[in-house]
Amino acid sequence: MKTNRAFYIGVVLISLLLGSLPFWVQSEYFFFAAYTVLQFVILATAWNILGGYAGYVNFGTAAFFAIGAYSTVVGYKLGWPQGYNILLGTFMAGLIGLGMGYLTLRLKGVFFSIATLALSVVLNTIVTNTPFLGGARGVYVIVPRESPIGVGQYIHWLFFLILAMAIFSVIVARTIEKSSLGQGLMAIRDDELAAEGLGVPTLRLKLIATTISGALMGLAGTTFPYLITYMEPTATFNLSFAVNSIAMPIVGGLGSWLGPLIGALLLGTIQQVASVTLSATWNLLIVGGVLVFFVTLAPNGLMGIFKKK
Amino acid sequence: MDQSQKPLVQASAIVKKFGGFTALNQVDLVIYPGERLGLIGPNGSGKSTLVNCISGMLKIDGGSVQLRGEDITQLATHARVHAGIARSFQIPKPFKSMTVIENIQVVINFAGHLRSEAGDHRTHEEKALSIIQSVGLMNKADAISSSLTQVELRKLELARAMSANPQLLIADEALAGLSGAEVDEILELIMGMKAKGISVLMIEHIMSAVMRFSERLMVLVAGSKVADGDPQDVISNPEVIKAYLGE
Repeated sequence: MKTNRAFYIGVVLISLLLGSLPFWVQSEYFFFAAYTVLQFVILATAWNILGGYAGYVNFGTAAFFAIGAYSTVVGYKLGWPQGYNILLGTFMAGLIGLGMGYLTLRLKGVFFSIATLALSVVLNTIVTNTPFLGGARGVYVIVPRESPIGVGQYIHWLFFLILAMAIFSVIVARTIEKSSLGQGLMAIRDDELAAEGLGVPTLRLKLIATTISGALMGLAGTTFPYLITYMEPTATFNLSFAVNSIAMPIVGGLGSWLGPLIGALLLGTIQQVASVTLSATWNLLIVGGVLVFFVTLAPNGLMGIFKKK
Repeated sequence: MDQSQKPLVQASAIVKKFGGFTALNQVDLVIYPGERLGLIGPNGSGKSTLVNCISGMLKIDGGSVQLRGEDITQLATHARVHAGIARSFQIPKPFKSMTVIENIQVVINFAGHLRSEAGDHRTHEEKALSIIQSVGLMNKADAISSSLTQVELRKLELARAMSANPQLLIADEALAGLSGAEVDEILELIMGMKAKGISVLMIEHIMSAVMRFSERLMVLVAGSKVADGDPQDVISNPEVIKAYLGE
């Protein structure tokens, strides 16, 4: 109970602190960078629900992210308000997550991972060949310059949205972790056969996990078209989404809500700083280097290092 | 044991094949409420395969499994646990990242609470601690399960199976690899299940323990049942002697 109260007090304080940034930080680029970091907080947190808690490595982050993003494109073209588009993208990604779970969750280990990667390739091909979604040429999303709430620029509004989504994702992940669902997923990760043999409904729990994980990844994608204003498949289905959403929980520490949060804040910030000070192409090299370091020297991530101490 | 009662579990004409190899050939098994049944046989005779078929971990190629007269042949493994069949594993399979009490709580959360006795208002944690105490692991309740010794792991296996609040507990070589005193300790635990009305099916190679435990003894040889009855009669059965000692 006490830890719950401390957590929610922390959430409120951090929300107030970050929410006040538009009032005292002038640089628009700062909010673009902060948006990207928070987007990775959602993706890493969502990936951790299936990959960290249940031990199923999903390489299809870009697919779910793109489902969210292209659902927004559909809603935008139909003239729907932004709120509807966010709900649509989240729902569609959750639905595809459930469907993917039904088709692939009887596969184990690397075979499951390859199947999720295949989902990304299939969806990329579909989008590339669908003129309504812009096809290979891409599609423009026109956004106003001013924020719809009358405070600051549109980038500030997007920052508020992604901040709310990131906080929501972390609360969802923590709630799962503390619930019997999280306990069941961790039992599956430790020994799936034993879990099933002791009464844990393994398939049902994995389906719930793929649905929630997919929905949150989709949620992260729903505001992406408003940020970049030009959507095309190569950027949306970029492998860096999958690489980052796997690397960040590993660096922070798998299997805990705090791990992906720390990993995403750390790796995301390093990448953004490197983009400005060094070169944008250094991003994945940095991720790769940090990942190799942690996998070989600190496989339990930063959380593991702190726990030991 | 009262064989005039209806069987708790009745497995009829079980057939299990692995490719061209028939591991179980038309095997029948009956266990009555509160009964202690020993299941023996040489290595490769199909003992573990039979209990895997009963617990649902293996799909059968022929026959049926009934629990309290209801056909459960098509039920998933976890659903059979919910219905009242729990098992321990031949090689302990703890949830390694969890503590002892967390290992127990998982089972209580997903299975044990479904079959709680009326009027039992204890919390899941209280129930878990009570089970941990009954197997003598109280001083290890908060230890990570991967740090346990072999005998402690065996106790944890039994504790987890007990946490499902089963009507039938299947103990698959629960005594393997233990010293004499440790065998006695675990055997006492298993035999104590009868007082709680739990039927126990025990697979074991240690004959002294099997003879102490069993009210009835069943013998499998090469996937077929060759004897089933009073333990003293069974071990003097010529076919059983032949299977263990050769021609």
